[in-house]
Amino acid sequence: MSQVFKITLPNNDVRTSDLKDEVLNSLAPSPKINTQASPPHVGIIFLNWASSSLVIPRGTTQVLYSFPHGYNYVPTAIAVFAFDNGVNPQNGTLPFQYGALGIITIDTDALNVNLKYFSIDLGSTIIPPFTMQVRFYVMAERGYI
Amino acid sequence: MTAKVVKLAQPGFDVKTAGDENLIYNSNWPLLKIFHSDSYSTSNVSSSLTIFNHNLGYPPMFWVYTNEPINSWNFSQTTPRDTRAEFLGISAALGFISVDKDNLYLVSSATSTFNLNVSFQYYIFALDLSQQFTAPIIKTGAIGGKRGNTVFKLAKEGKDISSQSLEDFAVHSDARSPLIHSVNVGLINESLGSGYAFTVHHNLGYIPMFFGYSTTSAGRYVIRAAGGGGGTNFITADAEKIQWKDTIVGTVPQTIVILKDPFMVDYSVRVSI
Repeated sequence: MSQVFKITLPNNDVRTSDLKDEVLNSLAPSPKINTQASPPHVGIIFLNWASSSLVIPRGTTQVLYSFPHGYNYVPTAIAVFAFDNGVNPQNGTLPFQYGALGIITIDTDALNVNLKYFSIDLGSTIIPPFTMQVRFYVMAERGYI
Repeated sequence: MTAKVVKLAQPGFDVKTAGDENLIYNSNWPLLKIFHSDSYSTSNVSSSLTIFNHNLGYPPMFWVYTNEPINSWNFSQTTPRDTRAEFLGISAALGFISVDKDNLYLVSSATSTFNLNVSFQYYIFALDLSQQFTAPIIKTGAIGGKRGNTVFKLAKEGKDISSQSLEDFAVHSDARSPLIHSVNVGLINESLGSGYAFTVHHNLGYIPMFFGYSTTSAGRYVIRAAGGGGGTNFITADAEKIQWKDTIVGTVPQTIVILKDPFMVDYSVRVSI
């Protein structure tokens, strides 16, 4: 018989509760962000896209920032952002499509966590300057099996 | 009678004084719990597919990590898989992956531009996207101290508690897990004069991490992808509220899931282009 450790939300009976009404349940793991990792698995990347002359050809990937995650498999990452181009500031979750020019995204591979810009530009458009704060979590859960 | 609370603080924080965001868990709000996870891959999306029958009876929060090559963003990949994991990817960002109260779906596109190569890992969480939930705010903004040596951990079924791999645990105090602050369901119908908004007053005193989910006309939920630099549908966030804005009035519900986890943290790097 499976042994289960669980805690329910207030006003729920732990003997009869539904999983969604539980705080935690040892049979339903939570995504885990290692707080002991180095470099840290929680942090902010302040991206200052100051260049007012840069053109990135369609299909080109530019790695903006990368660091080793330390797992021997492909883990997962999520990132939320605060974008500001002086006209239309906004917040959300990466990936972020910058108009019809490119995608700013975060991914993981077998070694690293990467913040990338990928060009989808059909022309030769200069990328307008902007700033972006990217808050990332690297999680122990697998993203590629 | 004072309500009983079970809570565990992150290392370096006193459980009696820790801020809500500094806890491993608190029985007043749920952790994000994985109900089911699996991978899916195909080189020929020829029709709409049911990927997984979760049978939860409610539309669950879900995440998708694409394994498609990055050049899928311009529809030019020739293989479905690359050894990488990217949150959403183009298939989820365009709304082709969705859930309802019964299933997780992959919907083929009617356009010829959508590449038929699709590969992803998905996570379905035990969190109802259609049900309003708001956790109390007890205390925020505590400052941590020195870490102790005590560890609290719950191993997954069939895993050894002495494992050195974090993925073998349901909960581990050397790791933090996303803490749910609220699930907010509403329409983008609050007039702003020059558009409309769905406003959530979270009142956390800091900008929290959050996720947006849109409802389709078919009643399915898709993860909201962000586009900017002139877009008409976007989200703004500050220390008091989150606003999902559009130029047209909304007719289907949106869901914003807010974590206790704050946007700001003490470790940062600067990148200049």
